[in-house]
Amino acid sequence: MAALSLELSLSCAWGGSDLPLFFLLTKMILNPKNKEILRVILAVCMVVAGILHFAKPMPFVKIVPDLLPYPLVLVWISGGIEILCGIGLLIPPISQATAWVLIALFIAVFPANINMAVNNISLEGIPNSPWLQAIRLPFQAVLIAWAYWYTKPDNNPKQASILPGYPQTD
Amino acid sequence: MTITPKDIPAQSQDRQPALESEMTPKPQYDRDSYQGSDKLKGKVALITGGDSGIGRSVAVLYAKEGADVAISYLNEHQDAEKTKALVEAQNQKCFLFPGDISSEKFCQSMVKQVIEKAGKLDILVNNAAEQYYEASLEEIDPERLGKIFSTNIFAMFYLVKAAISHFKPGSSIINTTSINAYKGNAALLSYATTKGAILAYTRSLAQILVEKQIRVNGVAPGPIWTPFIPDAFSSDTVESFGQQVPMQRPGQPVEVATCFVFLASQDSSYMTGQVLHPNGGVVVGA
Repeated sequence: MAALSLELSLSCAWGGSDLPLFFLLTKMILNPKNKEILRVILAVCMVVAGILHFAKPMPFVKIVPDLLPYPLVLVWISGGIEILCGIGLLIPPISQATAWVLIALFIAVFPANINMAVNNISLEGIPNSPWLQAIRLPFQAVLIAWAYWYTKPDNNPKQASILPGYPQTD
Repeated sequence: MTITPKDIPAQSQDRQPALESEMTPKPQYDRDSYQGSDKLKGKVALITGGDSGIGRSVAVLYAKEGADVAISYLNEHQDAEKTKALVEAQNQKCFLFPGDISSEKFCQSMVKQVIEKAGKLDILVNNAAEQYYEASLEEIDPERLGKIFSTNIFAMFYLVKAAISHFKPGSSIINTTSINAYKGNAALLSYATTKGAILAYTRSLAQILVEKQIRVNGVAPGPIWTPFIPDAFSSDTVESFGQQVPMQRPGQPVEVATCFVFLASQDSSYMTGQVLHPNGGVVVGA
């Protein structure tokens, strides 16, 4: 769910094309120089994605696996966690812990992505091509790797932050 | 997304009623391109059998059109919770009523509770039914025969009687009959007979209620991919399901639910006592 909405919001922001975005991100992720700008991108995406869970819950409800109870409540909970994670990534004292929560979330919502692909659930606003659904699943690994990056301490005084006092300048 | 018979693997379920959540492929209860346009804004609908199949799809489209929805179902709580979430995701209310509509008491108490919780009732969708495969006449058990008539047609009497005093002019009743009422079905004698009764009930009730400006219409679906199918048919019959109609495929619940939107809304204001036929192209009388 998290990643689905991430994709939703990203494809809006990047003009609806997921393939260039996918490669662009992979390339950028290999470059440590981009760590902080990518942190901001991830954080903003999580907040936007989280808000979408409340503003437009229908597609998310559809992909919650049928075996789980209270699908709408689960969508709200995951959306709430996404928003908090997005904010947490930008608060240096808790950003590493937040990244671990984000990884847990990406794993927790992965069954929804599998459900979507296996049952070929078509969703409003997302092109319903088998090709896209195929690329969607490994993309979760990219997201997890992306979040994992921020679990590492690097004592960067210029860590992106919404807290006053950062970036720390000497 | 349409499916062809080759998309349907052999399957059966060890419980009855069967669950939508255990079907492969999943029935399509919504069409992404379907945009609501407030056709049922502010209305309250009661849909029997609204947890799954055609009933779930009707619930979802009614919610998209701005109606609050009450659904009854026997005991398929898992399916019902999903339907509730889908309705609530459209910012509409959804009330769940698990229970057996073959009991008049249950029908009366359900209508009473709908009025208490939702404040009124504008649309009654008599959709719930049970279906049994019957290989021969000898196999027909009198007790089960009574039960299938109770659920499929007597419940419509109970519900309409309970609801009639709450209906205002402009209200709408929609009954689910079946292509089997018109064509007959050798494998579903009891079921097909109840569906014929629903057809006569629809036409007769329409004549009774016309002076109250309450419209009564029916929908007669053909082969639709719902939990009914793994319920009633053997595993390999399920595989070839839908091949017999001109379109050579099963219909999806959402391809039927649109008829229920039309018949519930003012779009069908000059129609009563009529039946619509979402059945893949089979021409049947009236």
